[in-house]
This record gives sequence, C-alpha cells and structure tokens, in this order.
Amino acid sequence: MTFGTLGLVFALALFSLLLMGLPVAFALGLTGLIGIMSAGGNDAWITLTSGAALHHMSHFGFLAIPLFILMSTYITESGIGARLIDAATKWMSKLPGYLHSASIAACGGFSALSGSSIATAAAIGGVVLPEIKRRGHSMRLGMGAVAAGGTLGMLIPPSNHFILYGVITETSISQLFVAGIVPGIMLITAFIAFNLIIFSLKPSLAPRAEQAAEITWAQRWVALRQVWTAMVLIVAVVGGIFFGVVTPTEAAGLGALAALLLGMFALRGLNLKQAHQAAIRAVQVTAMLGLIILGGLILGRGMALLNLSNDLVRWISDSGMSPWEVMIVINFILLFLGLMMDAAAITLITVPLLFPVVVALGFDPIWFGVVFCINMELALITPPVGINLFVIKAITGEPMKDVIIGVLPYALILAVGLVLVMVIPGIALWLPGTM
Amino acid sequence: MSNEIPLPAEVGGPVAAGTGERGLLARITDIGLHVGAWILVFTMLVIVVNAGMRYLFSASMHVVIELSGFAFLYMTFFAAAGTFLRGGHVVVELVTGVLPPRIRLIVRDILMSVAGIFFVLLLTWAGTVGTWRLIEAGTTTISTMPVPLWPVLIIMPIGSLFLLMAIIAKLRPSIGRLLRGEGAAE
Repeated sequence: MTFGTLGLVFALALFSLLLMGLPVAFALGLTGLIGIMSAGGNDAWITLTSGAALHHMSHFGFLAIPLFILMSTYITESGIGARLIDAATKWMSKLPGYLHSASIAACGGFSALSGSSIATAAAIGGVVLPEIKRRGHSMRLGMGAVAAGGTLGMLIPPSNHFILYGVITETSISQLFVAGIVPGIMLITAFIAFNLIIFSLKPSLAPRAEQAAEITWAQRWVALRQVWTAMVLIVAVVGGIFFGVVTPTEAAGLGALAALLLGMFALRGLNLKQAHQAAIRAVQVTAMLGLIILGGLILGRGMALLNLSNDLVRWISDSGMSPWEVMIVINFILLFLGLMMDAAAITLITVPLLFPVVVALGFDPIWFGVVFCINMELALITPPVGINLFVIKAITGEPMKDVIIGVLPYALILAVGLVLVMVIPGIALWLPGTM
Repeated sequence: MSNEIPLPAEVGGPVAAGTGERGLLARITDIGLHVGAWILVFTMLVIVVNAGMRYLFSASMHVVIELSGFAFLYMTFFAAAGTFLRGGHVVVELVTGVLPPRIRLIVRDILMSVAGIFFVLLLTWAGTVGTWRLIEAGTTTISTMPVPLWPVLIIMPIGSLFLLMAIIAKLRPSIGRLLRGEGAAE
C-alpha cells in the first residue's frame, strides 16, 4: 500500500471509532493494535503493548502529570478561586469592564496554580459569572472571558500539555514550561486590552457606578494579602523549575504538598477527608489520561511499524512545499482536529507523526511546542467539542449559542496570538534562551 | 490532556446503570480508587523527601525514585475501572449526540462497547503474556538494587480485567433496552 492509502485507512479507522463513541483511549489503542498486527506479525503486538506500559508509562517525566493534577485538585478544593477573583476585582475596579478583566487576571493566576484549563474555567467561572449576571454586566462577554481565560491553563506553567509533548518528543519540559510564560502574559494582556476597548466604547455592557467608589486602598491590600499563598506556590513551582533547582516532576511533588499544606493550614479550606476526596478525583483524572497515553503509545508504535512518519517526511519533501507552507498546513490540520477531538488525543496522534517533519524542516522543537499548545487552546473554545464551552454552559445554564458568541472575540485574539508567536518565534524562545 | 479533564462523579455516589446502586463491582472499583489515591499521595511524599535529601545531604534514594516511576502505571490501572463506571473516560459525542436514541443505543452503547471489550481483552492478554515472560526470564530493573519487573506489569492485566467487567456491566442494560425495543438512556 502507498503512504497515502495507508495513512487514509489508518485515519478513517481511527476517526470512525472516535465518532461512533468509543472512548478516546480505546480508539487510539485499538487502531494502533490493528496497525501493529498488520505490520508486525502475531507476537509483536504483545511485546509492544506490554512494553509501552512497562517502559514508557514508567517514564519519570510522566509522573509530573498526576502530581500537578493533585496540586490542582487540592488548590481547587481549598477555595483559592474566590480569593483570586476578589483580589483581581478590587485591584481592577477602576477599569471599564473590571469584572471581565478581573476574570482574565484570575484565570491567569489560577492557571499557574492548577495547570488545568477546565479546573481554571470551572473555579473562576463558578465565582465570577453569577456576579456578572447579578450586576447586569454582559454575560456573553463574561462567559467568553472565562472560557478563553481558562485556556491559559494549558500554556502557563505548570502545563500537563507541555509534559505530554516533552515526554513524547524528548524535549526539555523545563524549557517548554518557561517558553509558555511570555506568550501566556501576552495573551492575558491582549484579552484585558480588548476588554478595556470594548467596554470603553460601549459602557452600557458593564455599568460600573456602584463599584468604583466603594473600594479603598486598604481593602485592595487586604485582598492581595489573602492570596499571598497563591503567589508563594507560583513562585516556588515556576521559580524552582526556571532556576534549575528542581525537575518538573519534583516541582509537581513539592507543589502538591505545598498546596495541601496551604489549603489545610493557611486557607483553611481543606480537611483530611476533603484532601482524600481531592486525591481520589486526581486519580480518576490520572486514570483517564493514563489510558489515553497508553492508547497513544500503542498507536505511535503502530504508525512507526508502518513507517508512516518517515513516509510523511518524504512525501512532504517531494511535494515541493516551503517549510512555512508546511507549517501553515500543519496548523490548519491541528485547528481542524481541534474542532472534533480533545487536546491530549490530538497530541498523542499527531506529535509522533509531525515532530520528525517539523525538526527535518529546521523548526525549533520548543517553539513548535508553544505553537502547538496555543492551537490546542483554540480547540478548547471552538465548537462543537470545545470543552471549556461546556464547562461554562454547565456553570451558568445559559444557551450554548450565547457562550459561543461571547467567546468568539477572544478566540480571534487567541488566533492572532498564534500567528504572532509563529511570525516572531522570540516571543516563545527568548525566556528559555536565558536559562 | 489535555490534559483535559472531565469532572468525575463522587466516589461512593451512584455509578452506571446495571452495576447496582452500590453493587459488588462498584465497591471493588471504589477500593481501587482509594488505593490509587494513597499511591499518589505516597509518591508525592517520596519525591519531596528525595528532593530534600538531595539538597540537604547530597544523597538520593535511587531505588525508591525508580520504583515511584511505576506509580503512574499502577494508578492508571487501579483506577481505570472505577473511572469508567463513573463516566470519566473521554468520548467524542459529536455524531452520537445527534443520532436518534435507538441508533445511538445500537452504535454507541452496544457496538462500541463490544469494540471496547475487544480492545481491553487484547490489553489483558498482552499484559498477562508480558508478565509471564518477565517471570520466566527473571527480568529486573538495571540498578544497584535490582527489582523484579513482573510485579510492576501484573497490574496491567489485573486492572484491565476489572475494566473489562466494568464495560460488560454497562453493556448488559443496553442489551436489555435493545431487546425491549427502547432507545439509549441518555
């Protein structure tokens, strides 16, 4: 079979299973097993499947994923979300559309604590969206701000997406984490700038007369003092990785322990029973991701045995496309996949195929990791399966149409951010270059 | 992945239809989740202690760290069945969500459950044969204190077996609905 036919059969089998409702992990693994069996004979599938579990799932780097998830569940349970929103609202109370901008700022802070986009959207949205509704501010833009702000969890360290990408491609996870910081801050700034512009132009979207006069500087400092724990945690985790004091896995362990202790003793939002329930929730998410990773590893072996990746590199070099044309095509493919699938599955399916192509074309692996990540952020807020849209809809009970309309301007900003990082790689590569 | 995370049901709460409100399988898989949680917390502590020892005493617990690498595999398979029963595994509902209930029942709840059973059976078999080969070959980790690898891999067939039972438990009521001429429950 030619590369084109083989790739088509593989893709058709995978997408048919996914669209018929087979859990993503099973669809990835089953397609991979069929590939291995068709290419490698009877015994290879046993060796490769058990080997994927034993040798590759036991990669020390993967352990950072459950530990950051644990940190996220501890911090979510401890109720820090409400305090972050309180502090951000008080500090931004003079700005037009302050609640919307505060949502974005709080999402940025919570992202750095949780590493999870959904946890961020749920924790911040659950606090701020009822308040936006109560005050009669624009719910559509509020939902959009939280859904888009929530996606920052994927880009701002710690990010489980970067761990997955780093382990699959053997790229430095520490450098990926650091590379996400400047684009993350850039996007937060762009989201807030958009809020300032839109709410200045149309003040009726967020009447603010009742708020600004009530907040004193003393209240602002008190609110900031209440989130000192969050700042300590962010500095400890990100700073520890940046200065090379700890590996990402160690930072995840330290972050989780710190989140537990802060949640129990500083924030007083966690008791032992709640801490255990948080650990159980973390383990459920770990099992879900672990099986997806195993399925992806099996699929990767199937694709390797069928030589799909090498054939793709050869096919692209024979096509006569320039590297940038290939990169643009790759991004459109990722955007298209993002309309249908979740980010972990897309990463596991496409990275083993695309990474050799990207490296062969001379692109920087860290830069591509960031570009890939921003593309996956878009996947979180694009219908029909953008999971942050569902989180926001579940929190507010508003029609999905309003959520989608609200998120549209922020999705466009994200797309512009993606183009900027592509055109100016220094946005992503400057900070890791200083390590 | 992301790491993206559905919000799973509470442990101890109701699970999928057909497994009984608090049936035996649900109780066993609950235990798996509790054990997984303890492994996670223990791993966290081991990693923190090791990082502390490295900085304070320039000593590292190599064997413990090597073993903690296997924790991800253990947690995944300890909790796989419990997570499945609570609807925690990611599914693309783009097409099935708009299908008529009867077709949805046949395609998603029955055909795809059978496909899932087939995959998990293969996983169980690969894990069993793989573990047996490790026992026969006496394979160990390569370190100053070699640790046999079969106790690591054995969690794969065990966890897969419970996952298999969980899929079958969810399939049974779907077959009942099919025979009664009904559509999918949701």
